[in-house]
Amino acid sequence: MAKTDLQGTVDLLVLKTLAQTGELHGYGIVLHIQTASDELLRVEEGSLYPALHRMEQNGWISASWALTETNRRAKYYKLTAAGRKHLQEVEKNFEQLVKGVRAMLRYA
Amino acid sequence: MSLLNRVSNLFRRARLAQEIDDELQSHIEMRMSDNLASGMPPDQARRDALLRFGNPTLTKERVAASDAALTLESFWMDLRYAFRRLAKAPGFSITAVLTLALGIGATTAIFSCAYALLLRSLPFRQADRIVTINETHPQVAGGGEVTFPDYTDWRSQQSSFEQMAGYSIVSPETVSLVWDGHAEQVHRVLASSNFFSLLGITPSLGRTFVEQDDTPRANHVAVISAEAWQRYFGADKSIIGRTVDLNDVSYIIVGVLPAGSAYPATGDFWMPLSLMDKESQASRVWHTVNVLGRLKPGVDLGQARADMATISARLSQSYPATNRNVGVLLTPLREQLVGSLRPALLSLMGCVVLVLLIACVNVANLLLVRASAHRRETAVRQALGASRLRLLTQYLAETLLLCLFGGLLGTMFAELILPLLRTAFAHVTGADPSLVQSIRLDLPVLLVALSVCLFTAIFFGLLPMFHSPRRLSEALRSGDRGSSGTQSWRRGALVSAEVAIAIVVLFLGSLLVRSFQKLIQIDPGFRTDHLLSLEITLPQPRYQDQTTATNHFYEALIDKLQRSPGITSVGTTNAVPLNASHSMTRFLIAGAAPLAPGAFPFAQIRFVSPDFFRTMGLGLVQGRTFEQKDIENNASLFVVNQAFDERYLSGRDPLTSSILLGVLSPHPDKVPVIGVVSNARDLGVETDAEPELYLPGFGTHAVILLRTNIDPDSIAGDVRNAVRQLDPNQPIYHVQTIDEVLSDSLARQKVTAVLLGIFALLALTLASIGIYGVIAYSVEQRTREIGVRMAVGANRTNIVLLVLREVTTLTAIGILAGLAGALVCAHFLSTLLYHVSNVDPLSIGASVVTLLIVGMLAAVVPAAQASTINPTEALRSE
Repeated sequence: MAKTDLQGTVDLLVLKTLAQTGELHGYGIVLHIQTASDELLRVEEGSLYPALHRMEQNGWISASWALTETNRRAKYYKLTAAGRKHLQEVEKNFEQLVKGVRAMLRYA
Repeated sequence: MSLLNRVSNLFRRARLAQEIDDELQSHIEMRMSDNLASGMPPDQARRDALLRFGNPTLTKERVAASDAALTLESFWMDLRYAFRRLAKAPGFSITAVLTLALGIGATTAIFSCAYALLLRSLPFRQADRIVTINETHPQVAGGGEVTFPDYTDWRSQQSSFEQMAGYSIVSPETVSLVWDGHAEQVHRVLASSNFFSLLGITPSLGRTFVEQDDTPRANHVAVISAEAWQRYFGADKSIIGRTVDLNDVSYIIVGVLPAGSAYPATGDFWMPLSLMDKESQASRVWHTVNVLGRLKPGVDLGQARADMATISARLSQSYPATNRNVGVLLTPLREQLVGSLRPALLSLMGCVVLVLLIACVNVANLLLVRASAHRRETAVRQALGASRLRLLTQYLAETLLLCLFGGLLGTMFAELILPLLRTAFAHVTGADPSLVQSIRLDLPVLLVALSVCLFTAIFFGLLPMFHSPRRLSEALRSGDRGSSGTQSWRRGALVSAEVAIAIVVLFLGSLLVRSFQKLIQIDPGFRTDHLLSLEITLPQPRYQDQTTATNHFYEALIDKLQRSPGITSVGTTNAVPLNASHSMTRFLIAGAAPLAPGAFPFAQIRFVSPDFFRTMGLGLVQGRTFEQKDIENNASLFVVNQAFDERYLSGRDPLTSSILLGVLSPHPDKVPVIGVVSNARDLGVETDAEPELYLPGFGTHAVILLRTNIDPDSIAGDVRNAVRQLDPNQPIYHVQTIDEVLSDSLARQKVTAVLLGIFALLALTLASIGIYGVIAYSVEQRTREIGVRMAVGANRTNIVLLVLREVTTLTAIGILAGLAGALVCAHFLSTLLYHVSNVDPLSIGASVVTLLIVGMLAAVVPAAQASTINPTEALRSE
């Protein structure tokens, strides 16, 4: 049984974003998810930061302060090796969930 | 990795908090500048950025929550905040802490006793496998010692025990030790060679017994307790192999036991069992041996009982004259050591937990009142974004502090009263002294106390939380128009619960107090005041029972004592009054129909001096008592008590009757009865007077009774001097007033009654505080309602009645609910009650009336306050 919940989904989106873009700050992650999903998905900005800090504590992502292109200080996140492994797992789980839900819908 | 992260965060928490701030701030600024770039006016750009972000404080807290360092920090803050809040409400805090301290303190103290006496492991190997084995007889109360031949038969025939060992503490119980020029009376135990290995005691010095020690040609060796080693030999390690004189016989000390492992606990010296006199070893008449058995693995008590019953039945058939109707009683060692204290301790434990429960309910009540008072504050904080979890941890921090302070204070309080409890329990006859001395606050007890604190804090601390308003708007809107219906209902339920528990404790307390009252009102049949008792054991073989030397010693002593000031009369006997005694004999009334072997009746027998009856204060009913010449002639004459006369001599003239003694020997002695005296409850005030036979004479062991006209304690020194003048090496021991013996014999009942009485008072006080708190609060909340009532015509009496009706309803519900529980609990108390029924109507009535009155009294002040409410002011306020 795939273990996926709402929090898992935020994790998946954030990890995937970082895998695709390399290094990004929180605001950039919000924008990326919005554009990459054709405006279909919006991460609630208030929920993003607790998730980022939790994932950092878990060692899936690492953070460092750097300047943005507009010369503003921001905290940049990037995937660690453990994060990459975790992402694979979460992706697999998510696909299973989607498959499962589809099967249910077809059956109905 | 993650743990390392969290730990390392501990050291940079200030920077971390700042970082979170910076990070969120930079997010908002980026959003703002994007908004500005897309053409929004500055005001709107900022507003939009903040709105999208949500509550920044909440977000920050949630981010911080994922960092261990900051979580700890926030809990520490909660604690400090809770402390400040409690300090601001000293009335509430002190009441709550004191209430909890009383409850937790009493529980901890009683639990320490229960733990030491019933739970802590005994100082023996696998003590739960050890049982004591006694012989029983329908005519002898309880289980008694076993005859030596029975013991050896048991040992060779039994199949349930890994080992069976015997020991003897009778005839004589004490011997005199002469060491370093001092004479001391020490307790000696004769024990079989496997006695220490059965108990699993290894000596701390030297050795215990080996098989060769305990053969018919026994070695004169002795093992001593650690305490005796300290007291008599100054813990001298070279004592092993040295020779000491006990009753003028030399023994070599071969071993010292480890501290606290003496069994029986009173023992000082252990010698081989085969040193017992040959007559006792050969006879199935003298009951001298106590038997211990260690159950084989896999054998339970029931199987062992069946095994022993079979053996006993076989012995009854083989030796009907001595063993007919003799049964076997197996008791687990622990039960033997605790005696009658187990049910008493269990009821005390039960009641003290109930008191603790009342204390907890009281505190829950206080918290509930406080929570309602802070309802709006809570609602405002929720509106400002405090999560329910945060509010919860703050509540918890507050109750945790209360409970920890209460627990700390309670533990100190327990530590203070433990010495009192130890002393009280030490006086209880039948309780093992070393177990009683082991009552203390140790780690297991403290852990239990701590978990009680934490449980109380969490359970009762969360109670008010369950009704913090879920709908913010509702809580904010409502003014102080009074508490909601469910809330006051909940508080009412708490009051009723308190009353219900209180009446259980009150009822049980009054039952035990009444029972104790009945006990102390019993007339023991003789005057217990101004009576001193002491014991003396003359060393054998220099002295023998009823020889001229022995008679001379006692006559000289009595003569000396009778002439000393303050002493009005001196008597001797062989059993301390008010103690259970197995000094019994078989007999037969001369001329009565012959009996089957083994069917002979038993009676208590005493060897007494002529003045014994006068000293005790027993009245002469018929005939005469003994005279000096009876002693000189070594006459065989009986004085009997009324109980004997009524049971065995009814329809005869006692003064022409004779009694056969030594009925198992081929030539019984025929002893004439010369007098009848009044009954004395000398086996204990709870026991009805038993048939008793008195013979004139002195034994090597004697109990000397002194009737005085001054404080009996003050003459102990004179007695010691008088004995020393006769023989400087002759010790006396067990010097005590009979009033002390009497109070010791009731010590268990006294401790239980006093403690339960205190618990009842405590329960009553706590319940009344609880009632007062709830009613006072309810009056305050209903100020407006009362104002309205008064405005529409209610007078002061109506208002007082309104409040009193509320109290009475709550109390009555509690009483009804509690009575049912009280009657159930009292059922378990039956064994502790003396001549008081466990549904005693007087106790029920007294408890109900007391609680009703206390409930009313607690409500008087709030009711008076309610009646003085000024309607105009009450209606204008708000």
